[in-house]
Amino acid sequence: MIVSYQPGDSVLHRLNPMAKLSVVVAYCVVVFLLASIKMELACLLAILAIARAIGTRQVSAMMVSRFALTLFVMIILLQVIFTRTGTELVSIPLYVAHLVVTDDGLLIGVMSALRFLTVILISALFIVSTDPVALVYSLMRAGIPYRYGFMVILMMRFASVFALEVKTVCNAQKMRGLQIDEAGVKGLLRSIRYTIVPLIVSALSRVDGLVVSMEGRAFGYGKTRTFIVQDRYSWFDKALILSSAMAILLTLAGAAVGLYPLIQTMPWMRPI
Amino acid sequence: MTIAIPSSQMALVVESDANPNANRGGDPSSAVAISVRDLSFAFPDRRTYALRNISLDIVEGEFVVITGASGCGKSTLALALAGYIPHVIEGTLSGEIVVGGIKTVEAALCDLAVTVSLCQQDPESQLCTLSVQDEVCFGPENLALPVAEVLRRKDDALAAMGLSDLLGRDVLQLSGGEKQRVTIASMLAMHPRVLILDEPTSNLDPDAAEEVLASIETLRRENKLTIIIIEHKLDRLLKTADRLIVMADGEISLDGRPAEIYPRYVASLGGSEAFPTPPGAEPAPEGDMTLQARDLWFKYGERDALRGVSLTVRGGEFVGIIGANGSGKTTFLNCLAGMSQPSSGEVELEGGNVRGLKLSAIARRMGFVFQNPNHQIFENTVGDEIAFACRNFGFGRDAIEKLVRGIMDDYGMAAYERSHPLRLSHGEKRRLNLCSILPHDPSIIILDEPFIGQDDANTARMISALLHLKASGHTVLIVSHDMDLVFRYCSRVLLFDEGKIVVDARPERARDQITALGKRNFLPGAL
Repeated sequence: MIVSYQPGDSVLHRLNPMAKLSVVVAYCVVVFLLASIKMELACLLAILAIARAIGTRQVSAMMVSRFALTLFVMIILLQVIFTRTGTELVSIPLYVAHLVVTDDGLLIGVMSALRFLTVILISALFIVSTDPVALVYSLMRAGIPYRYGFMVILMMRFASVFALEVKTVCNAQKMRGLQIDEAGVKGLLRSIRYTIVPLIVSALSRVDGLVVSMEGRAFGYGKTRTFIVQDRYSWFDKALILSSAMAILLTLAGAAVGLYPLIQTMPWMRPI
Repeated sequence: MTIAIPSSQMALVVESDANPNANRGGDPSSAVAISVRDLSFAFPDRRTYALRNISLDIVEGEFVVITGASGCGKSTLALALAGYIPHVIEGTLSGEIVVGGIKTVEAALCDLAVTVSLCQQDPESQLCTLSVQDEVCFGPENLALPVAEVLRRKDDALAAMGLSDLLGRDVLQLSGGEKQRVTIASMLAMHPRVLILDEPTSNLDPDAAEEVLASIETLRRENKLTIIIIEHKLDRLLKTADRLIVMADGEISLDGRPAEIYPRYVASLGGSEAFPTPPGAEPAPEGDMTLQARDLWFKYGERDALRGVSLTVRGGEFVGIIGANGSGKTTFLNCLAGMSQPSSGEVELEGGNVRGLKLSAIARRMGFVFQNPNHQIFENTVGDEIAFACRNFGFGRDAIEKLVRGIMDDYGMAAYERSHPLRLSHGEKRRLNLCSILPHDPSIIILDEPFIGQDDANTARMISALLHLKASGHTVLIVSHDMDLVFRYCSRVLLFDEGKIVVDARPERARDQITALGKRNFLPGAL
């Protein structure tokens, strides 16, 4: 499942991309440090509620996608299998050994899965509501070197062009009798070989054109450049950035003083 | 002011006037915009020089057209004039180029960027941002100009190219002609004194090419910009050009007023002798029906790309398909070849429905040459490339060798058998593309824009090959923006418009019908 930017005029859409990015970072830090399934669920439901409010179905679709569900189940299973602490709930006899399921394993599994799901969904919500170009320009204005910023812009610019070229090359192979669907792995490897070379040649020819076009317009002339669209931060944007920073600090402080008991049971987070 | 002409070329230049500029359109009293002295250049991996002893002066405000065969050095000269040689493309360079008083070898490329701008033939590769506004502001922003100045330049450049209405548009939504005009506008925003355009219309349909050329003419009329255009198709440009320069083998072979130089250039090509004789009026084809499309509909999202297209073609027909970009031509060919499935309608190939057939099964009877030669070159030698399809179809080794040898001999590719296909010239690659679909002898040959970027000699060779295939009973379908060739050599002309075939007739009748529809850009000689 592919999540993409969905233009809109909601409050979320109108927020400054940097403010949204700071919220996403804070959200991820907080959900990873929180050790309460109730809180994790509340965070997840909050994301779904916001997604519903801005009128997108991409976030809920992502939640029930095969990718998200597989990841959710796999994380729980791994925690159940490898966590040995806690009270034994059930012991499943296997051919080689018994699989002991503990309450810690189950709790940590569910919580870890909720954490990953929350991070995936908050990221999806960010993507759905943020114009990627506006985000890159915001990052460049915030200090990311513009040469790196334009690498991302160029990727976005040429993604659809290359997708079309891949399709054309594959069609050209088939129209010359190459049957990748019948020849299994060998056919697939042949197809990859016959696809990569034409695409590299095409990409290099585009690079030549791009270099002439960009250098011919003084790209790289100075360390800084002008941006005609200036970043505007409303009081709400500023409040969000400040709140995000506070949330990260408070959660880290809470974790440091042992406010979240379940963390103590996780071997990889146990205080030294 | 003097214009240096290499002694070997003196005889070809108009000799009668004491002042060489009097023979050209430029005002002799104007300042020199470009001065080239004894310029020679060789690419690092080549033994021969791409440019040899070029000397010329171009005065401010002059409108110069440069032409010549593929590989004669036109584009290399453009890259040198704009400073990309030697700053981006290295090689062996001698001589001197001065543009706007700046020696290109000594100046930094970004300093040259405000003096000379180069616009290339493929607009898709030159647009580096996602909106028209960002694209036109890109250069002035890089110069770190104040915001107000950037915005002023953007407005001026868009107005100069008649693009003010496109300001808020996404570049991905633009047509080919609009993209090329946005590219030129983005160059104009740099306020260059010299604008060089390398085949700016070669990838465009006639309507879009007309848009671009009209904008360039307006630019020339209303600004004192020095404009240099590199082009193969000269008819339209020569009406307004001050000067025509013809290049051959890296040298300037002719230089002067278009009215004087053009006839000599045509004579040097051997006039129309290079092209095969057009077949003339032919009886209605009586061959077997090879391909039939019935009421094809195709949708891209909400847009109908094809709206009830029907067509029957027979063996021995040479069908030319014309129409604006986005009118449905390529979608139609894709449906015929089974690469796209129509939402409704049927395609029959030699009497059998193609629906459900594998592409490889269709490919056994239908050869398809795509627009970009590099997208369909897969092997490391020309011989293997021509044998590629036969190997996939399971032909025996001896049969493949015999078929490939025959094709290479017939199409003049034998000398390149062990060469890497990617080292061939553009014209040779196109010939190789055609050769690579022929050994398994498909009855239908489809070519998408086979003449783009080809000079007259290569085009003539390709036309001869297609006429030969037609004469041997093959059905040939080509999509082309070259109206002159389509009307001259095709036995049938189809005009697509908004997903429908609006004209389907023999060339002479098609000419009348297209005139009646008011689509004059789709008539021969329009551009």
